[in-house]
Amino acid sequence: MTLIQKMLTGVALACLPAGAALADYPDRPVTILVPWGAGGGTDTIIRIFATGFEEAMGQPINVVNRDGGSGVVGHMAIAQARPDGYTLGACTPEITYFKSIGLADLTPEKFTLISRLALIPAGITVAQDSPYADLPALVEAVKSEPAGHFQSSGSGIGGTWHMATAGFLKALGEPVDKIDFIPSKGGAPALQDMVSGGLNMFTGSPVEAKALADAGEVRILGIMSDERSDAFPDVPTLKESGVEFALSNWFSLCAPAGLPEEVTAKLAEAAREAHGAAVVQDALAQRGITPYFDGPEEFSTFAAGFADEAGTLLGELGLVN
Amino acid sequence: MMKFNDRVIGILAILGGIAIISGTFGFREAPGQQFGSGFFPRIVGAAAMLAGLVQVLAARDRGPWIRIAPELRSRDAFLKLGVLAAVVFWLLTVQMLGFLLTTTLVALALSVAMGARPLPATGVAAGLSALLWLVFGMVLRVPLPRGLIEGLMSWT
Amino acid sequence: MDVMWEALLLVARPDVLLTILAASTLGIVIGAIPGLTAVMGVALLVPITFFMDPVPAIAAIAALAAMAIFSGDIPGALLRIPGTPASAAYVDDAFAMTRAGRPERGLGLSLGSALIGGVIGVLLLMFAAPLLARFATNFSSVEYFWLALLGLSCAAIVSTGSALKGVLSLIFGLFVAFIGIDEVAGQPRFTFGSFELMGGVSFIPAMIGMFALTEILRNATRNAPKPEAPRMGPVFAGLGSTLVRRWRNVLRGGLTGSLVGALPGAGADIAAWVSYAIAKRRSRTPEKFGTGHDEGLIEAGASNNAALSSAWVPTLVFGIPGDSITAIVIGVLYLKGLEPGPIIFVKTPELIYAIFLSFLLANLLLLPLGWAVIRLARHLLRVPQAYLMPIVLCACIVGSFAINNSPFGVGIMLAFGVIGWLFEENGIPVAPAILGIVLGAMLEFNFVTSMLKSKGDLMTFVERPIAAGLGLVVLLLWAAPVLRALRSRT
Repeated sequence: MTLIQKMLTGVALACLPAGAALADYPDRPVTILVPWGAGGGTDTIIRIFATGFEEAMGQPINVVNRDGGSGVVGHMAIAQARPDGYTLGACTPEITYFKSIGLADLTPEKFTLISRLALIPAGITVAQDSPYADLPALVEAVKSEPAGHFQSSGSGIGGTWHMATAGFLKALGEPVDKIDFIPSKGGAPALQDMVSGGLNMFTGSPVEAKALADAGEVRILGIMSDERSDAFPDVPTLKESGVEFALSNWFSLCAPAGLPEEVTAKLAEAAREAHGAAVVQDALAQRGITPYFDGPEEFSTFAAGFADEAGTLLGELGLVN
Repeated sequence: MMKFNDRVIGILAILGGIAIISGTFGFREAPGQQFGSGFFPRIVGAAAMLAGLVQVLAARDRGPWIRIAPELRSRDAFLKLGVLAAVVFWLLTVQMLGFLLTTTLVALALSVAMGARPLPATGVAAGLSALLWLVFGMVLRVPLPRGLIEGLMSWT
Repeated sequence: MDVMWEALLLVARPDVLLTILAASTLGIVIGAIPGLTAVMGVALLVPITFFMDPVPAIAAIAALAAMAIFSGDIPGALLRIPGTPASAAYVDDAFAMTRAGRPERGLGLSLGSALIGGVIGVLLLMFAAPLLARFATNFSSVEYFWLALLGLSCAAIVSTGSALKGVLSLIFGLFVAFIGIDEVAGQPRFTFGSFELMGGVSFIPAMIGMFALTEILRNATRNAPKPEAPRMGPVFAGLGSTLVRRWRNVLRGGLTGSLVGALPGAGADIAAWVSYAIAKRRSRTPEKFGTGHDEGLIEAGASNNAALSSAWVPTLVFGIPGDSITAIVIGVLYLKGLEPGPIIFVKTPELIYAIFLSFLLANLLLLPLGWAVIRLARHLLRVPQAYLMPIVLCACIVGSFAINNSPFGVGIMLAFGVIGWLFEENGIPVAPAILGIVLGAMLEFNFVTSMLKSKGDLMTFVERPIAAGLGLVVLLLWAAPVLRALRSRT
């Protein structure tokens, strides 16, 4: 923003009757910025959540996609929005390590964390004609084959699914880069590359692989969660094969830092109510997404812990600048 | 209307190529990647320089470096600049005046500048921005900038 | 057949049908007004489709484009101002008919051939795309690299005007594609410290700038001539018998158009010129071309509408745009979460078939709407520029804003409008730049990831049979003009 624009905005703010009374919050539509593309996991979750949230807030909710730049653009727009409760965002794990990989000066402290809303566990998927029949066979092969034999994808370098791959290897006691992680622009192109024989493994979410699994093009061998998922009852967890590792991508409701406390409280309350609604719970579960709600305090603690864990893994991958 | 000599276009392409290549030197190396972030931009920069060079050498254009057609020296030139200025005006003032007022002003100014009579032009401009506000702001829920007029409408 | 039925249910909904009708009407009006082109109409429609469900959104674009390409013939026939570049090939023939006092004859032939050509293109799309998609599941990053290179090569070689300027335009587009974060290495490139630019240049505002703002700049003049169009006779009189007599031209135009359109990078404009040339070469009376003769008009008129539909084949199957309109469509598909590629044919075949059906519907709508607009043309041509241009400008601004809800989009629109205008003033074609922006990112990403997979071994690009075949095609494409030049010298 130029100086002139800032001054003009200031004048405009002074003219507006807005900000009169917090007690009335919210008295106009609220926008939720999604830092990822339409139709993706984050977008789907937030749009489902928004249907319940609209009712709980008593105001229309606009879900707006601001994607691009590996999530930087949208997260930056959330952090820089006016902290008045009318612009919220959907923060994803990237906020915990944007800074450590040198992409942007963004940390969890730049946001008001309201709650996690949903989890999508990582999975292990192979092409239909892959020689590995099940998870134990694959785990055995990952241990015995030389480094670089497996090539996997699911997200960009340093994305959550890259960390899932590295964490899985670490839990096996292998070097974190034993599986080559090839960056991709999301789940669909990575799966396409695997079906065509360009890759031999997909460590993105089983949710993305579901349609192709139903069509008989790929097989979902395992899921990296603590328990089996209701959406994939036949898919075993890593723990069942003796690998102590679980990692889920999480999707949250957040806002710019410096939100007034009453507003945060009101938002957390409305979000809890909306999240508990049967329509939201059912719609999420139906898509294989695990609903999850932890509230501002627990979420902040979790985010700090996640930041440490992610920092360690990314450091071992040589991605920390 | 505003035509550069073919050789000028070539020179601009060469300069652009140099700029692209020099811009790649700050890029860091990615671990395990033989072809980093600078690889493709350098190819394209080199291609720009080569194409520019061919353009300079092959140019048969012996005219002046920049030719401006006579009609562009007249009022139409101001009109074209005015179109650009209108967009800049919109960008600078929309946050303060709001979508409705700014858009009306932009449409009205351009209409009148192109020879429309002020009264009907005002009607068309106001109707147009109201329609866009309705379609985008209300139906499609685009958060169009709010300003003086929208602030008075408490129901929005 | 279940898929077909599901698709039919998706299309046969009042909101979808109404959307198609509304978009068709808009398209036919836009095409008929000189200064408003099909691509511009699509660019301005996109911000609205952004808020629709996928099927009506894509159907709206398809319908608008098909109508606008046909009705672009109207100002061409009546005033000798082709409404779209695709109409330029046969504008002299159509205008000569008008001067001979039979404007309805040229327009009727345009309409009839557009309708049949469009249907041929759609049928090709419906049958070829799924087959090609089945085959394309064998494509990995290596094959995609070659495809992207093939698209870029076509764009550079077959572009209209000076080939060298086409290459310069392409290079500009490639540079624009680099702006933003390099997703492989996480390296921001050419962002000049702006976090908004880290996400890259938003494609749709850039497009609106290059196609719509450019047009406003060109038309911004105080002394626009007041066009007067002649009276019109009955449109359908004698049309059927002429088309039956010229069935060879209609069929050949439709097929040539379909093939040219399906080439990545070559769209309706090129198809029309190619078909006109073929018609002239095969005609018994080539000397009559350009003087109000019907063969070229029919063949090229069928060709450009066929190309419009078949340009969606590479778009949907590979994510490689066939022309400027489908380049915009790719942006919309991504916005809708429908990543183009063989996978969507497996994942959501009903959606793809629904899109095909709405294509067919839009082409059939040409008949009533085309007839109506020919009757109305006299009035449409008289809309004063002093009202039209401000309306388009404001639509550009709000559309660019709505894509990201940010004034930044408006800034991008402004910048690309100026660039596009300077390009056109200097005879540099804009279309290669558009393809450069779309294909540049694809080319680089697939090259770099292929190299990561093969650990730097360049042989990976020719080891798989399909990849080697595609590589050979690219090589031949570049070798052909060089060889021809060498042979003509000796």
